[in-house]
Amino acid sequence: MAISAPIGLKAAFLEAARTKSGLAATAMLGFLILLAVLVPLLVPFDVVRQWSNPGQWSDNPKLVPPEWSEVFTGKRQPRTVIIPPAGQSGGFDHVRVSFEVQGQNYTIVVLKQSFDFQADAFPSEISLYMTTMFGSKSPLVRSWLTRPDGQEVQLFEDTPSLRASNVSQFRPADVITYSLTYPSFKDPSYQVYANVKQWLISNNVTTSGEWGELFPSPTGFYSNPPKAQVLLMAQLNHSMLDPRTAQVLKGKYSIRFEVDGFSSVDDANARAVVFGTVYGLIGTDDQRRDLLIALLWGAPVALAFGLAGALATVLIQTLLGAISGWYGGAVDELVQRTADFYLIIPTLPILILIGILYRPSLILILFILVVFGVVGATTKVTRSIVLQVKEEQFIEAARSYGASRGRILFRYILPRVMPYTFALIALTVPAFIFLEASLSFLGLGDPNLPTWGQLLGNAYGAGPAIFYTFWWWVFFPAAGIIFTTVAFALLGYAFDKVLNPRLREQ
Amino acid sequence: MPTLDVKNLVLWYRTRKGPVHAVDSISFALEPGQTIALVGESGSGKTSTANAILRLLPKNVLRYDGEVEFDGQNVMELTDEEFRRNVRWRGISMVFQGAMNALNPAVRVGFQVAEPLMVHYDVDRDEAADQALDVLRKVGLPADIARRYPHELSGGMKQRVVIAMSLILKPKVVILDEPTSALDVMTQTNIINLLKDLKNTDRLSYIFITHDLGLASELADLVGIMYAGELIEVGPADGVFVRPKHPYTGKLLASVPRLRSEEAPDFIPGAPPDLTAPPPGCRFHLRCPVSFEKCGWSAEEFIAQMDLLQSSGEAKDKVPSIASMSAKSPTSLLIKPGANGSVSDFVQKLNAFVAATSEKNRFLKSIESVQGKTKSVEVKLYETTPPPIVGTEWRAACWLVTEGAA
Amino acid sequence: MTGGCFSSIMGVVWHLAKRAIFLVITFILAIYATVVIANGGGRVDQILKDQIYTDLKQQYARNPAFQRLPPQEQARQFNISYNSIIEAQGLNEPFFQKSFRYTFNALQLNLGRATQLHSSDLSMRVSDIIFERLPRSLVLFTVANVVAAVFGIWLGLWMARKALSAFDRGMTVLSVTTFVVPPWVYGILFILIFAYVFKVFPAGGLTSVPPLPPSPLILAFPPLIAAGLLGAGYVVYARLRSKYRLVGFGILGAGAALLLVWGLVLPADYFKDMEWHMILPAAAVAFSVFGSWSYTTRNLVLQVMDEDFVFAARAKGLKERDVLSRYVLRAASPPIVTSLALTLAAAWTGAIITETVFQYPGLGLLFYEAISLFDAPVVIGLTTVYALLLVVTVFLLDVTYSLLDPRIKALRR
Repeated sequence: MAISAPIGLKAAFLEAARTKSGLAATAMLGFLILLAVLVPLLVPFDVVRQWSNPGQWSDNPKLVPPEWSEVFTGKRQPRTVIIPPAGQSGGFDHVRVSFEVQGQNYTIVVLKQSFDFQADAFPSEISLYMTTMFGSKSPLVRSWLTRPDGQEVQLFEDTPSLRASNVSQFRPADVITYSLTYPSFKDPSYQVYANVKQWLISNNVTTSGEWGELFPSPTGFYSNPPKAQVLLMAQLNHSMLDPRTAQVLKGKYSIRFEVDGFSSVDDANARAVVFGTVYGLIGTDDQRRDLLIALLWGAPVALAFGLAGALATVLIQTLLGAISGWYGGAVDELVQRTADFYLIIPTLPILILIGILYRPSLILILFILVVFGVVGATTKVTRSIVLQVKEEQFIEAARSYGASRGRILFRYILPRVMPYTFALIALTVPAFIFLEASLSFLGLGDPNLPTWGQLLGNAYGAGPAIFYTFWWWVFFPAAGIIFTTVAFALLGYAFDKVLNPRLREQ
Repeated sequence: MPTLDVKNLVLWYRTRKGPVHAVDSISFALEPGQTIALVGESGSGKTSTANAILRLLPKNVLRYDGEVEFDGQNVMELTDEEFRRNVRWRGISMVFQGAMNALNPAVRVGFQVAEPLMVHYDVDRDEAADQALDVLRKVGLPADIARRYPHELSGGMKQRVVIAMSLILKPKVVILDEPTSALDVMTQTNIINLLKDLKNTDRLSYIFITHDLGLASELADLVGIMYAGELIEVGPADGVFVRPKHPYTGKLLASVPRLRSEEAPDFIPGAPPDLTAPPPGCRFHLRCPVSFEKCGWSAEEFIAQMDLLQSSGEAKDKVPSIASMSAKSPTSLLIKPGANGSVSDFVQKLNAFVAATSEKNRFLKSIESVQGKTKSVEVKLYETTPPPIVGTEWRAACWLVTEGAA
Repeated sequence: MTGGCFSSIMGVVWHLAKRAIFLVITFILAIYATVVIANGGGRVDQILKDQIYTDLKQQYARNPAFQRLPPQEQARQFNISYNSIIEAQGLNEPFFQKSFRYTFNALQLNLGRATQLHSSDLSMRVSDIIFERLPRSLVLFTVANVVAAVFGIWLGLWMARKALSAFDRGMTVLSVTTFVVPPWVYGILFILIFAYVFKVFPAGGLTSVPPLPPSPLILAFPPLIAAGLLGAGYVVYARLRSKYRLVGFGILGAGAALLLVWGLVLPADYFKDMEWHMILPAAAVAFSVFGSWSYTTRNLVLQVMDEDFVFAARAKGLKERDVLSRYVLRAASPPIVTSLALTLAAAWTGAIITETVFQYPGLGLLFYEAISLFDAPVVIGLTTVYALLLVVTVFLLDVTYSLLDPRIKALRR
């Protein structure tokens, strides 16, 4: 780097901020810093801490694009509909009758609620949740879906064994999940296929033979199960058998549970979620997590990580470079040889090794990166600048009036080097952001804190061959990283322009 | 017919501070075998003149015109490609300031000397090398030098290499841009003697750019004195160096220290003017010891000088007290008298002050009239125009010369 | 030839010898560090021991004959077989001792056997696995970097020539903003755009069909040699005058002929397929690298253009093109080469993620696979190869520097 006329740090800042690229960088960084300040207020840290806790995200649809993406398909995509448990507003209507017949107690509970479905596409998933309270014997739970065309389809029948102590609270620990879309073979909700088949055959939509051909299940197990949410919500005709031709039956649906209990204490509560096909601003990942939260939290994390790493390494490297250039001799030799040594060590492979063996936290990763960066390019640059500054008259003058070497280094030489140091810090920040992203991409990042690199890594981990179909999962984190690093690159360039007169007009 | 006839050559640069008038309407002519020395302080436009003649222009050129007649042809009309092919180095070559930097550090000097032959005459590499050896020998260098790199040579040797390089195509005009300024005195003398010999044997015309009047007198037939982008005096060396016409030339000659002389060398007060805003009238008037009415003080310069005078301790009590001054036009200004002085008092005092000190404070000579107004005094200055360059063989641009001739 | 000339050559040789010795020592230290880290300072040994222990336990638990033995006898038998396995795998040695053995072996490229991975012909020798992959990475990254370098230098020269124009400003900003982003991020975006949205290029892999059985080493080197010949031929042809032109032409022809023969010998479809798969990863690498070439070239060229000797060259009547190529580029090349050899060195290890993103079966993906499987011998072997590549790059850099700059600035570095 050629060294120009001396320029103070502040003057350099001001002049850099006046150039066009400096202006753009300032605007972009301003936006990021504002985001970094606002994010903890908008999305509390507690929410992000739950990132690896699947229970936190179970009401979100799985792997769906952002809501605004429906403008591309031109179809109105369904949003997630949640019918809360009885006792909450808009929740299930709850009717409970308890009576005695021949000294035997019986209880009947009916839970019912309807929802309006007007979207042009089928929901991605339907899940029902039940909590029951009973005496010695499990109650019989049955559920039905009533369609806008008046058809009523039984969904499943169960005698739940999980006993809740209080159904009005609907505690997650007491809840049984019945997924109609992804039922396990052993689950009662698997009955939905048989029930739907029966219903369609009785309505002459299909025959047993055709059904068997479309959805083979010789042992009762469907290797390629039908999509229950499509069959249940499509217009009742032959086209409904193929999800590509099925048409949505719009209107009012209602879900009903009937619980037949065998004691006076029996009671039940229910909850239903009809999952949409779009979610939020950014969409969700395969674990139903709201990507917006991770994307927003990525900004402060990337900024803090990049700045801390760049500041630490560049300042250390500057100091070492200055010492090496200023004192010369054995010190110089030592620093130079160390720099060569670091150049030859394959840093990234070693970092990855450390990542695999020790699963370090974000702070520890930062520390390791700094250790691997105590000498480097900046040392060489600083050293060459110091070697030039060393020859200048004012150093000679300071020496001749008896200033100590240390004093000259800190009072005269380092201030001359500082503007370059700041340019280098700005240009080093991207390197740190990408190092963290690289490690996170390989799944070696801090698992407790989502970063942009981690989002990319998660997406990639979901399946290298298919992850590009989840464009929202890939595009936004990548864009976030690029935006941030480009901002710093522009800032560094603006600095460079001020410090290196060849880059600007005469 | 002169080998080189430069007429009204202009070269301005564009900078952030405004246009730089690096070369402003320069004219001179050079006969075959003649040497003109261009003398002036640093930044007076000597090197820019050389670059303008060779059309070696930076990117930020604002204005570049005039006539350069070389061998009877106006080369300013040539396209860049024609100029490069026919004039550069073939007709006019150059010895650069600071030979150490003018040589490519990564290329053997022999190749650098021979290269123009290959470029301009498509001479075979070996033959060019042979010719380069001849020229190197001619400038007094051993043959083995051709295989060396510049950093292996001493300063004097490098300078000789650069001279050899300039002679390789046998040009008619060689521009010597401070060819010896970085060398010690003995080497300087050697180089100058070499240049003298070459001039006599090859009938070369030199444009010798220097700030060293001693060297200029050694080599030059003609002398051109440059000041602030202008050629202010040009004439035969024995004339200009003996009886300079322009006051600046006089001052320049007087500032040369002499060996064993009792006299302290003279100096020129002030600094050369800023070329982005050259002073009106004669560009030297601010520093001129004999400036007078016509030399062209502007109202702003007048105010600045007055301020200077007021703040200098020596003349403080003699200067009439002034509350404020403002320029009304380039040639008139308003002065508000100090707190306890009436307008008429002030006019009187000012006139007295001018009469007493105008020989010392030359800017006061520019006052044409002083008129009292109600609250302030209006000072009118003489109209200004730059002095024309007058004369035939020996020309100078100074109102004193013009007046004297008239 | 004079004494000065001779001593300067001796200076270069002495300097290079010193550098070589230093680099060898550094290399040994780096390998030792790798061995220590790759084994987690003995941690991997412990993991392997635990694994053997649990495997053995399970094996015995399924053996009814063993279950019938009394507990003491069970423990005794278990210990005997456990210890014999541990001994056979060298896990009983203290790690400190073993680290020297590993380092010594690694230095001889005697990399041992992989624990999990194997090459396509099912060899488990680490060197077989690595040398099957090495040419693929070499081809991909050499092609991408050469393309980026040629384009970047050309662009940088053009920018310097048009310095401060709108073109220059735009390209400078583009260069500065593209080179901070690593290739794998571009990889992801390129796949997203060109493989997913437009479906022009395949998303990844080496070929659509299984790789050819013979090692693609043969595929890799002819084009490299041809590229070298073409470059050298052009230099001879363009830089030297008339009578060498024919020689240059000959070298150019030889390069072209080699390429042609190579193209004819190869199974065309297979090769096309491989090329087709290489385009996106190569583009991603080139896109992330060209900016640093163009930006560095531009700045250094502008710096050199201010030098007096360039001014002198122009005064001598050289064509602008010749001034640029013979004077400016020549003087600017040592620093350009320095800053960019380092970029190349970084590219070697950066390949890990780039190749993973593209599922390109080179060294990088191998590293990723080896790490995921805890295949320590492969990891150590790969790190050794990476360190070797870096050492060779740095040494070549020193040699180039000494050749390009007769003043041997390196001596005073």
